[in-house]
Amino acid sequence: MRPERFLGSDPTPGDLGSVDRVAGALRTVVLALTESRQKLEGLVGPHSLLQGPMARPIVDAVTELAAHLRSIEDAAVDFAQAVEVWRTGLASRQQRRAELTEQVSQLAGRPDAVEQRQRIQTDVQRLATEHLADGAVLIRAADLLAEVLIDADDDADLAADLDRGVAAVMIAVDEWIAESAAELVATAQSLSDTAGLTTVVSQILGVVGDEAPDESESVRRLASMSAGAHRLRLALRRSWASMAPEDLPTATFAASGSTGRSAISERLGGDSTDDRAEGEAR
Amino acid sequence: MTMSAAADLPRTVPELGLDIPPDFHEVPLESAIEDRVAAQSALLEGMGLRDSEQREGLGLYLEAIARTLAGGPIVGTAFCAVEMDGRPSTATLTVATRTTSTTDPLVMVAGAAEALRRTGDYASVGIEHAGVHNAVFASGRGGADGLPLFQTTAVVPVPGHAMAVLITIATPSEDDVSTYERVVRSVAGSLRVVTS
Repeated sequence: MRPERFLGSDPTPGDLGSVDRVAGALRTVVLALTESRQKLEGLVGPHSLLQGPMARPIVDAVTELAAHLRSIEDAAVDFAQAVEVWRTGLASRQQRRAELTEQVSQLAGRPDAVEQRQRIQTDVQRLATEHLADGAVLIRAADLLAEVLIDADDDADLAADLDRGVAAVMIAVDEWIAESAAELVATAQSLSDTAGLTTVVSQILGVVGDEAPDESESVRRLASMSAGAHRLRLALRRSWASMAPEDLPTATFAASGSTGRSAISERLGGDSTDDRAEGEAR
Repeated sequence: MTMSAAADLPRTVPELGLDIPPDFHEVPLESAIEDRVAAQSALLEGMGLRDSEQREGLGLYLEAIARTLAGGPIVGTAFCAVEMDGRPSTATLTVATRTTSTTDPLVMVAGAAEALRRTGDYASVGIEHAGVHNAVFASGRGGADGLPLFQTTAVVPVPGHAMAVLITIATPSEDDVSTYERVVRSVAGSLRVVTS
């Protein structure tokens, strides 16, 4: 039943289906904004790679960007809530409009129902006023969202700050590689070589490998430098009996904690490496 | 080897702490020979070796390692010989320190990751959070001229110092790689500055 025909005009124009589509789209936008903001916050959080003074400009720019997204997210949530309120009011008013239209249609052909018609007309007016007021609230919410979006769009420095921060880190990393990478890689190689030498201990113990450990050049070199080179070479040429699993302690790999400080940990202090070198020299 | 540091950076070397699981037996590297020999004897006793030739061979080998590593960047090396899932398993854990040209942790980990990646020696190089640090973890196969070893090296910046601690875990057993990778992550995460 068309309200214009019985009420003169539609006091509560609005398409609920369209409002629902807008509300759905807003939910999607808010979720995307939240997800993006959380990713940005994670990028600069306590577990982030971006730690230290060089990271500070990037952290500041990303933090500011996250704050911008937060304000847009908040404004979008406020607008989504306003749309929800509008939707609830619209549905209720359109229900009331249908009732009033029905009542007017029932009065058709009854010249004695002037008072009833006036009462209905007053209700229609009240409905139209309420509709306009709610519409104004929705428009204000949309204006607030638009203002936040315009403000966010104005901040062009953010991208430039981020760009400068990333460029500075890349330059610093390149400089670090030029100055320190060779020594670091050499140390990593020393660790690898030492791991190979130490593994031979497990071969002598019979925990690994069926062959005699005297296979590698580095082990032969090490043996040749030993005070008991001949005896050591003989030991390294032997195939030691394999140790049965039940003869070995079960692995725990529990951290030693602060009570039992390891010798390695002891030597990580101060000038221990130099001390050891000096000790050998003496 | 003398560690070098940039002139404008503090040269004080901090005292560091690292939690090594008790499954690992450290190769004695004490600087005083009498201390070292005593530690070697204690280690052999602790291992419960009865074969005198094996004891002698191992003793000579431990001493040879100590002499080889003297004066270098290696702070310590340890081995474990354990039973895991009903079979023998072994790994080594080796630690070194390296002074670098920056105290900035981002520059250090990003630079170290890129430097290790460029060597082409590692199948994977990544930056991960371990404990309270970001650290570089590089994994690959090593032991080129001996027993093939599966290795993971962690490079952990020392907070507030132009220094990194490098930790390598290596095992010949492919089946146990994931276990030992967890161990090296735990050890790397335990690094702390005891006194600056």
